[in-house]
Amino acid sequence: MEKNPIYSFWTRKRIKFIFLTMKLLFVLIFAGSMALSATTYSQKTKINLQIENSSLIEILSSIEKSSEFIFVYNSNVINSDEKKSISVKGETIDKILTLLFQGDDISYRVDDRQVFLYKSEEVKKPDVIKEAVKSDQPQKKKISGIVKDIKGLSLPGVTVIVKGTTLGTITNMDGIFTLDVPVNAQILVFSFIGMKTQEIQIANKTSFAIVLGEATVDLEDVVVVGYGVQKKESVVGAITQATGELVKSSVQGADLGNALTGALPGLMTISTTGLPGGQGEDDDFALMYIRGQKTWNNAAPLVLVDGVERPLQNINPYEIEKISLLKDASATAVFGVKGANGVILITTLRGKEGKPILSFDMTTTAKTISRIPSRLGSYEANLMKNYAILNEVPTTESSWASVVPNRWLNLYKSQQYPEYLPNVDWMNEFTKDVAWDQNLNMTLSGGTKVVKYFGSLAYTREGDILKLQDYGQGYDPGFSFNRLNFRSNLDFDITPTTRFTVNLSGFFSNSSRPGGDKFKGWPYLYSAPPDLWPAQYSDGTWADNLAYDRYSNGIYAFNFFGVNTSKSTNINTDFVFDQKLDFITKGLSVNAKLSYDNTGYSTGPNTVGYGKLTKWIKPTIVDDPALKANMSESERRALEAQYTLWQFPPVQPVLTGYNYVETPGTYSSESGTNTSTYRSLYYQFSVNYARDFGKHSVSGLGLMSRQIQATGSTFPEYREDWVGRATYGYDKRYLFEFNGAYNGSEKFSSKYRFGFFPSMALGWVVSNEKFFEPLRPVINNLKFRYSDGKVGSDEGIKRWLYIGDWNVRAATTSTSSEDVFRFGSPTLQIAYPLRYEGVIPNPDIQWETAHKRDFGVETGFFKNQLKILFDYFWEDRTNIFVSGADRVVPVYLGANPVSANIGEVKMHGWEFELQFSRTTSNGLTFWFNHSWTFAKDQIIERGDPELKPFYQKQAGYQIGQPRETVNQSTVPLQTWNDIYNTVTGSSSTYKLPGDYAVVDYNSDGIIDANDDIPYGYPSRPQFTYAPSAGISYKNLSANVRFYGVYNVEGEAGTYNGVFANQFSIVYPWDKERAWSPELDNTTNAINPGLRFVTSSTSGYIPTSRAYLKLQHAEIGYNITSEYIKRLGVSRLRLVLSGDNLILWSKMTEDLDSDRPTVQTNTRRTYPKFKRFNLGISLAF
Amino acid sequence: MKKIRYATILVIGVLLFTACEKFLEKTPDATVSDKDIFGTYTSFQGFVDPNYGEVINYNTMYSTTTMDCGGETINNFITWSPAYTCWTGNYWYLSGQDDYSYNDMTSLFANAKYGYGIYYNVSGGIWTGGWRGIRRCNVALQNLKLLTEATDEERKLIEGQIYFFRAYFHHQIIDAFGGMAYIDTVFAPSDEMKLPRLTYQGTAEKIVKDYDRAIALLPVDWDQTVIGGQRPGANTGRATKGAAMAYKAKLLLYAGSPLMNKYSGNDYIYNVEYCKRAATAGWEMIQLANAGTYSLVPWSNYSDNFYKNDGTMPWTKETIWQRVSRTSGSTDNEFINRQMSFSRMGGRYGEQVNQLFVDKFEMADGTRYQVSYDGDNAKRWNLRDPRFRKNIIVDRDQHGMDSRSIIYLFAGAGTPATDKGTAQQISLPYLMKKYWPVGANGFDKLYTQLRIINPLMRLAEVYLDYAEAVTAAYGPTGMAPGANLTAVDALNKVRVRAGMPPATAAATGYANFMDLVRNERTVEFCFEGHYWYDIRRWYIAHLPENLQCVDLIFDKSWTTFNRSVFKTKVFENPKHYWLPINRNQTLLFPGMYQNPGWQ
Repeated sequence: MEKNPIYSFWTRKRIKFIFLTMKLLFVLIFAGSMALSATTYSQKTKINLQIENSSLIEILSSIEKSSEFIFVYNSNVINSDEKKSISVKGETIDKILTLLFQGDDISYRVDDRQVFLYKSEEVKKPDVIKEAVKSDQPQKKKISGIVKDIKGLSLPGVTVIVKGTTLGTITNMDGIFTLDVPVNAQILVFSFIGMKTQEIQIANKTSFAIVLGEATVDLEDVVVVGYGVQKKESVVGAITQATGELVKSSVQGADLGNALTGALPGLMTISTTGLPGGQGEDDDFALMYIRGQKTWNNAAPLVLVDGVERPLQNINPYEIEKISLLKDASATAVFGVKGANGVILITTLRGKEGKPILSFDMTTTAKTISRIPSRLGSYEANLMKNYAILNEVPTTESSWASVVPNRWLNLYKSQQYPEYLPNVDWMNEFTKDVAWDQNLNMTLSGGTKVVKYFGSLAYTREGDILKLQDYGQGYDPGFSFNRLNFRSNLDFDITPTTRFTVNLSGFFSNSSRPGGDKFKGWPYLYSAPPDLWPAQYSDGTWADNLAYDRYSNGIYAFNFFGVNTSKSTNINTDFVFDQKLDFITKGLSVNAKLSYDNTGYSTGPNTVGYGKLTKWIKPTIVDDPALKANMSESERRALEAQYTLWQFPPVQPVLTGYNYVETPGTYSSESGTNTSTYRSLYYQFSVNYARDFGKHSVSGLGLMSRQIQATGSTFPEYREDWVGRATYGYDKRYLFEFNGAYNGSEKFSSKYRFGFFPSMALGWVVSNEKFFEPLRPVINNLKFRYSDGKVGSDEGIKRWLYIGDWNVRAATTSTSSEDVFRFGSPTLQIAYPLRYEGVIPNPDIQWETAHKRDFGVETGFFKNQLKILFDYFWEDRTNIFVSGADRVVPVYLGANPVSANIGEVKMHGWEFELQFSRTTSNGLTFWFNHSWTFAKDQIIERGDPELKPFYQKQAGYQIGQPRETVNQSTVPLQTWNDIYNTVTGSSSTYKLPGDYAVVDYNSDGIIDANDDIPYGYPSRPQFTYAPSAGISYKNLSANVRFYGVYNVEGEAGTYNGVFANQFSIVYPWDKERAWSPELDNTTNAINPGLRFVTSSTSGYIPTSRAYLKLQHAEIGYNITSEYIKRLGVSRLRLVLSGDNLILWSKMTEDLDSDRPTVQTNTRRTYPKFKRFNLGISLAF
Repeated sequence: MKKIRYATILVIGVLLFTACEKFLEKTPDATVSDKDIFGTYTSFQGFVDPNYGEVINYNTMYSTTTMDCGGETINNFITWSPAYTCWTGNYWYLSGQDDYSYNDMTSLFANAKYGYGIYYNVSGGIWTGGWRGIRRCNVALQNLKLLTEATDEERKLIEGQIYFFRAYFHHQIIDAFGGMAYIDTVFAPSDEMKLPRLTYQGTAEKIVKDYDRAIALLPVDWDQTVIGGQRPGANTGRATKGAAMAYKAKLLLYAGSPLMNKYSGNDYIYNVEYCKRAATAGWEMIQLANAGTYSLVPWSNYSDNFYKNDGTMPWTKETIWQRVSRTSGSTDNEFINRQMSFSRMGGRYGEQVNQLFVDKFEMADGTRYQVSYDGDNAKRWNLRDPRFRKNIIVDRDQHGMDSRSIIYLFAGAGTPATDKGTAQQISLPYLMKKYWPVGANGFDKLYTQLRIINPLMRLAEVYLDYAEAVTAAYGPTGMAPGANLTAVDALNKVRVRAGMPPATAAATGYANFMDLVRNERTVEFCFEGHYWYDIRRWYIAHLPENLQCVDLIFDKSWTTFNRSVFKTKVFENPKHYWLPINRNQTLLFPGMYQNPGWQ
């Protein structure tokens, strides 16, 4: 057990720690549920009441406020004009109600916290409730039905009213109602406190089954904004919101960023890897941009989890309630400098008053490699090699020597000598068909009036698709990732006006990856030639030939050089204190928050592997006359010996030459190495004010926050922000908002340290205007909004660039120290400790400023069945920081160029969103959404050298604009005549038919770097679109989501031809595209002619990376059998889904989406996946 | 109730009026003052010393780089290496134009990524590291007045080193890139830095002035100074009067050489004036040597100039200047692995020697090698200049104690299998041996105590520089004014040491005596990084005879020997005579114009 690094994560100490944390978590959760289990609430609760001359309604509501009782009654039960007085002390509800309704014809029934009020005569006939229908009503029909909540529980006390009348009833204890309605009645309205009001067409039906959703999960109403929530209709900033449900269903691997792809209009994600855990040496979490890239400095959005800056990647999706995307200046203003690139707000789930709900979610994922380059087999590849040699012989006679003789070709085909002239499908050898991920999640939530709790525990495991295993070396070198997330959110309402919140969350993760050389393993996976060697010879020796350098046996390299592990431990805590100060002035409250986050990262323990003795048998052995079909084993071995090259493991403590003795793997110490810890202390104080005065609604926010964060032993980073927001709304028609941020950054000298960044926004809800009334049946919502403001950013700017300094190195006695130049003869002696000039200061380093504007239109048609939203936005970024490393100054400076704020970028774009949703009378719901966004930036200034030709300057082009030599035509030159008639490159020695004529852009007669011109698009798409659709009927639901991008091209890099370094690597698309008379690809060729040792001339061959993919498809079914219910299961749902299923694109077959490098032999990312998930979700 | 109200107002009030500026007024540790750095001798020396790290060890700088750019060697396998690009003519790759700058494969000439190596013992290359060193010198000079806690002698030592390095770095830059502005001020970031390029001789004049200052200030022997006397031997490797004098002579010879003369507004001929000054400077240096400071090591200890395998530093009486070291055995062995040894011997790549270069080694009797000797087993590899087998491995040489260290370089099949063939990256039948001690291989494993160095200036060069300058200025039998050493005598000092018969002014077998001087130089300094500079300097690099790489193909039993052109070098005239300057630099302002042929 100790040997296996996977298990070594579970050291006793750690297990103890985890158990301790789990214990703590459950203590916290159960503390909450204990309070809940007080079942006899109505008897225990004593109420004090002192009310004079108030209406019954007012009295009831004050009882509701001072207790947990909720009154349920039909409006005609209570006479609102009647005034009463009551004065009790420490009485039960029964007593109070009896007192209260003395002399009225009102009866009541108390059921736990719900109190139902009836007209007294109705109580006598509880099942058939009379209503005040006029007796002359001609024709009636009787309808009946049952109302349940989404968990399938019956809802008593739901008000059922015929729309437009006072005709109605409430449901009984079993949620059942019956009602006599006029034949011409059309719509029933179901409403219940805390639930979403629902309208149902009556039509010809007489029996109804209604499910009421909870009002609080209704996204329509409330939008999470910076430091608060706002009613959707009063939002004037550009904000998009997604539910936790949507995110949950889109999870792809451990990195939450991947789940957001296409989920939030305006957010662009670029995902590059399928690596377990998402991040590693050459793999990175999904890149995110909000509304495109507007700076070359860090353009990633700010991510806040429950109001505190935290990384998004390792969040458990089951903890998320909502994700808000804040996009314009007005929405992000309160985040000040950090929000310049947009903000992602993640709100985690919190407990709600009610019974404890325990739920389990289990998902198993089978994943297969999405796309990976296949290669032609040895025979075909070598045949093409011969074609290539034939092609280039006119200029390169010497390559004739490399022609593969026919006999060899036949041997490659027949595979008579699979060890000498092999034909290996490395994809098969190196990868498994399928790998598995597991995801388990458990949540518990609920609450009482005083305590509300939410707790979750989740375990995620990602499997490895590579065939890495313990071949007897004593360890499993594979990639892996395991993560345990936990969260406990507690809200304590200490007094009716005081709330105290404690959040505790975090994760533990461990991952492993092979210790072998990534430069050997990855190129091998993507581009190993089929005819090098078998991975392992029949005598058990692994193949390798260090001489090749480009291709060391990657399977061997990844399996036998140990395994490295790393661990992360993250714990975040929030303490929030909320105090309402209505006694000072109504609507005022203060809030204080303290957060402390701690993330530890450590590598190790690592297992060190030293490789093994490897060999390579030269293929020329097949030409040896001594090689015969039936040789004895020993004869064959003797012959092989003459052609065998033995290789000793390249690096080991002592090179042991022929006396090589295999060193067994050794294990480094258990304790982790290179531990670095991230710590962040954040605190904020805010004052909030919100109040309506008739038609005027006013709100204000003042907030101050500070953050101290540090990683490892670095000097802590300090930050301080003061922000304010004021909003004013008139009659829900005219909205105004002003934000101001006064931000401080320690990165700047005192002259620039604090910056003030104001923004404003206006909104006009046209549909709320009187004159609009006639249009409302068609257009129920029409809103215009405009925002304009400035945001500062100090992202990507190093600290203390305004101060110069000296670097003083300590004296050292170590002989291996890199820091000391040694003098002395005959032996080296210790010299003086070194001193260096540090950064040359620039006192004018300052804020990067973004001036953002956004114009938006929101519409809703036919009661919001169809919604169309459109935003046009534009931004001007000035003072963009250009790092010294990216600047060019005369070399005479003799030092790194000094960083400066000299850049400017303009950006514009739009977002279009369409939502259509409709529920038919028989309960069939179908919806269709489409979002489509465009964003394009343009560099105005980036410090280009003065004499650079305009087409090579950065200014005027997009960030990351590729520059290429381009071809004069789309087809290679066909004949020698064509060759003689074109401008050649710097050398024409190796030009052949099949080459391209490239454009001599500056007409100087030679082709060189000056002829590189802007061409194509950056590797970041300009357009993204995400159509999705779904349907649900009764217990069945299904949906599909697509994600597409266009106006995007691969990274710069010209075609480097087939047979790179003379290896027989031929991809299927090479065969299809290369110019070759033998293959009959001439006038239809895309790529230049085949070459073997020389390279062909060609400019950039356009490679669009536009694609549309079926991002997600799922089908879910709720099992609602009585049997399950009897087991106490309130919900049982099965989901079958798939991610990244189909890709439509013109990309070569090896590329999956956005970003891996074109050149397969330099690709070092983990392949991406197609996923098939089976999930089960249970709630009690 | 009221209390709460007041308390709340108070809290808010405190929040609003808390001074916020101070919270952000934090920087790590107290910053170090200028006086701390430049106040004392020890600290100031610690500021000057990184200059030693910018000195290039021609052959061990970066893994796949040798300075053998003149065509003397090839490794047809490491085609991505900067050295290989000397064959393909893509000098952009050498000088770090932005298209070709890689962090992990840095060129000897320029590491275009500035940030790399500031704090470590990794030079930025001749270009980047040079300019960086020049700034360091200027900063040091600017702060010299702060050096109060030092004796007069110590102040001179510091100042002398500063002038030496400022000259040396400019010198290195202009040899490869051509004349440049001479930078003697510290530029501030906002300064206009648009100084135009000078001619080679224009820059050289300014460099000479700094060398002269260094000569006046630096000691002949650091052990004779007060500070050096405290730890004898501990300052070996520091700049000396001798180093400054030798480089001054070399600079003047370069300035008088055909290529540099042309690029100073004259023609492709020796500039007699500069050669005269070179001869005088050389004679001054020879006099310093004759005083007992330097001497040629005996032939038996010749390899001590290049390696020691006992843990001591290769530093001899002949050594005048070389890169100081911090290296341990393992990194030096890595160098062998990369440049000389091949996989069966425990190495990696192995540079091989061009047959045309091998031909330059004379016969032992002083006659020239003939192609007709190729099939003559007695003459081909034996009866040659002793320096031939000292520097080059041929077929069937055993390079170690272990019998398996016999190296097979024949072509075709045989038992045991030959090392020549693509799988071993050996294309030509000659391997470099100069820096490769016997036994430093995977069988004998004698490399833990290895120290390898590529000397940059040794006394032999002083003699040959003198011989060349005198020949150009006064003829083979002439000498510098006041000297008693003719060009022929100077040449023979080097020649005779290697066991070769003395040459005469008649230079039998050569067109003229200058050709003999040049050949002697080529042989004596083979693989030391001189050849590429020399054939450019002499304006002969573009001639057809210097463009080919020739293979010698023979069978295991040495019955047939055939020459075959293995590779032809791309060398355009005048394009490849100078390295291109980073394009970003030439686009900054017109004064920093590009070298001809590179746009």
